[in-house]
Amino acid sequence: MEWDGREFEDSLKRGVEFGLDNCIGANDCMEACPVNRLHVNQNELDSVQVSGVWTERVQTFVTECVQCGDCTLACPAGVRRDLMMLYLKTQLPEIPAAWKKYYAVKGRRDRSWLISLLDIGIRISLGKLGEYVDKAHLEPKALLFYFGCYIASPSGSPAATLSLADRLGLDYEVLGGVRSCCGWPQYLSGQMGYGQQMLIHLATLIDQVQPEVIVSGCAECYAALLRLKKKTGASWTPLTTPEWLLRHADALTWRKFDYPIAIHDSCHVTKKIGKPAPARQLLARMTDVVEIAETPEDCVCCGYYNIHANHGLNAQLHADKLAVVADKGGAGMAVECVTCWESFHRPFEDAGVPLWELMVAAERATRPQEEV
Amino acid sequence: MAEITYLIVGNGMAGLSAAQTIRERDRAGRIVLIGDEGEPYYYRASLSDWISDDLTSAMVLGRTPAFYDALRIEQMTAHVARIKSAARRVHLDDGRTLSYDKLLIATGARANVYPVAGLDEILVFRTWADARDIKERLGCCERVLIVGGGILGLELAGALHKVGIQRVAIVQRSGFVGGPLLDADAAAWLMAHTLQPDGVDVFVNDTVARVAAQTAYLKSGQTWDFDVLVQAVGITPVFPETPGLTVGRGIRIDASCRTNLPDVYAAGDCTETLVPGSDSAEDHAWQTTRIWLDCAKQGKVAGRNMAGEPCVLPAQPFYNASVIYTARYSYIGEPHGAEGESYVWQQGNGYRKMRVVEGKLAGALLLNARHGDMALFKAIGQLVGDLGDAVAQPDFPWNDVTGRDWDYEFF
Repeated sequence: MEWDGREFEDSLKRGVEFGLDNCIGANDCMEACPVNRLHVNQNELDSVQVSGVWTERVQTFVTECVQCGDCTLACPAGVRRDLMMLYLKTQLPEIPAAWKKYYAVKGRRDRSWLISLLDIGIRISLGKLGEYVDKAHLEPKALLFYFGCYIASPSGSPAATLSLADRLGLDYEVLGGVRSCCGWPQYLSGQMGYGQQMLIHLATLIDQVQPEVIVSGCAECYAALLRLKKKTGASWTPLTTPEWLLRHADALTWRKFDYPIAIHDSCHVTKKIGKPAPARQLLARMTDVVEIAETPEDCVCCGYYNIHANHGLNAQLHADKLAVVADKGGAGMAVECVTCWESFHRPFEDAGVPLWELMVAAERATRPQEEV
Repeated sequence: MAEITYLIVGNGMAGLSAAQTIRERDRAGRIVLIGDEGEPYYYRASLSDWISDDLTSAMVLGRTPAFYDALRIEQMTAHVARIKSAARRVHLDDGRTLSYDKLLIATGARANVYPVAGLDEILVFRTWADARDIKERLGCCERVLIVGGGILGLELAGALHKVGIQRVAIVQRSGFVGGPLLDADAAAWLMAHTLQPDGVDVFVNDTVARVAAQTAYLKSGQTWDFDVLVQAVGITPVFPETPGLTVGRGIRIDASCRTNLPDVYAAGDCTETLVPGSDSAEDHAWQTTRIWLDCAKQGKVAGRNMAGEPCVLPAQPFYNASVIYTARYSYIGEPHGAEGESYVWQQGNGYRKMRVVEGKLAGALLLNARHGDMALFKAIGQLVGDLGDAVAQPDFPWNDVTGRDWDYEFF
């Protein structure tokens, strides 16, 4: 398979060009942004975009953009402002220090020796799940669980997902570990070519499995699968974890939680891909679902893409989320994306409010009575 | 001072697009951008938001001062009276002359004004100065009469509604408002879902025959009392007197945005282009440029050619998305026409119309329910078969038709 390593960057550039041409200056994007604490205007962004000369305000704002997509939803002119912001992220004069550390290892094949060392530690820490970390040999299977980097997620999602699959008697293969990274962290830190290489490498790993279905519990990995499928014309079907489990839900016995749980929508899956329903349908099997926004698209981002860029900003997003969950009558909150879980889990834990990743919740809700 | 390499007359979207494009390709050449409104480039399409105080003056400006410095685009306020292309000179109203190597005429258009018996002062809505005139009068105003129910008239009406003007009326010469963007059916939808609920008086098939004091006497015999009357009755291209230049209503340009004069280009609302496949000798074969996006494209193509990079206007389906009155629209391809079949879906405050010709999607008009509009843009010309009303449904899988996931795809 031959890919131009700059394809992603080039496609973003086309989005930027379209946006610059179509923008009518309404500024609705900036008004809708939940993290525009500096009140940056759209004309400032486009001035930097075209001139390449950064201002401190715009640099800060672009660094702190959480890629929630609210800007694009607000635009009257069809501009993909979120993509324009993503492109600006790749053009930042300097990669934020926190990002450099975060992406120092994930998918860095030139640091393979370091990854091998890390994998030893990860395998030991994960116990049984550890056998799936950067497996040397993948077997052809119809069902593939793609955990990628989040196989070591403290959410417990991968283990819960596999428990559910075992409970259903399904045969599967698992792709996990930093060597199978989808490339999103690399894109975010401006390493466009590297990100593209990671996606290509992921494609070769998937080819070894020849799956019919690929399941992911990370919204960004799921989006990467969509891109991969469209690029390669692959016949496999990408599913989010709720989509996958809903296909088998009738084969399980469900017990309800004894408290209502709010649903938090992942920006990628709901706003950008437009699939808010599966997570709700799955949660409804386990409890009364509490809506915390007027529409799923109005749900405020977890702030994950602002990772480490501005702790205060994320703290506010988390505090606001706790407040709205309480206000709407939720005694806990559920998320379908592991990155949302990782963003929220500490503040929710500190507040004593249960935060459920959907697979973990489903595993508990369908656990055989004798194991409860 | 260095000679002017690139002289751009007109600092609207076309002129600015050209300037940006030239600078990307020529780091050294001197670029001078002339505007005669006394403002730097601003978003004309957002003047209504400025009237309604949704935008500040700083927000309406299209670029920051630092932008022009960074790209070394010199700005000048002047009016170009005449162009002598053989001598490569432009003559300003104040007597100065400027020489150029390459010239772009991007002088835009002016609002049409029709005299009305009894009306001494006619307000129009085109420039920021016009918007100021209107806004100044809104403070002690309860009734605004808008003559012209096209996109601009409806845009102004939407701003007035936001500002809280008690009574707004629109007088439209044709049988429905919003043309040519809307057809009669879509206009009826707009009336029923927005204009009527907001209490806007709409008079169609009508004109203002005369005005006496603050009363407008319509041709139909009806009357309407007003405090402010604004005409929004179309635009006409404007350009400097240029001997030898081939013009119709606007400056005639080819696919590279060249005029018939050497090293003279034109772009934006001042131009007209040939309808594909038409006989250039026929006047009706030429169409004026009126859409923001087309102005941007022409500016870029002109800029590239001026900077020595030959190119032509891209052949793409039409795409325009913005707001009509208070409804968000996407106008894609050719949604209106006698050929083919049209299918309409309406529910709640959403409206979708698809036109299919010989089994292929020819165009779409979406009002509020704009889900999938980029997929539709990419699906123009694609086979959809004989699927009937299903094609207008919001959940119709346009991504499957195009084989791409346009809800998420990065272009």
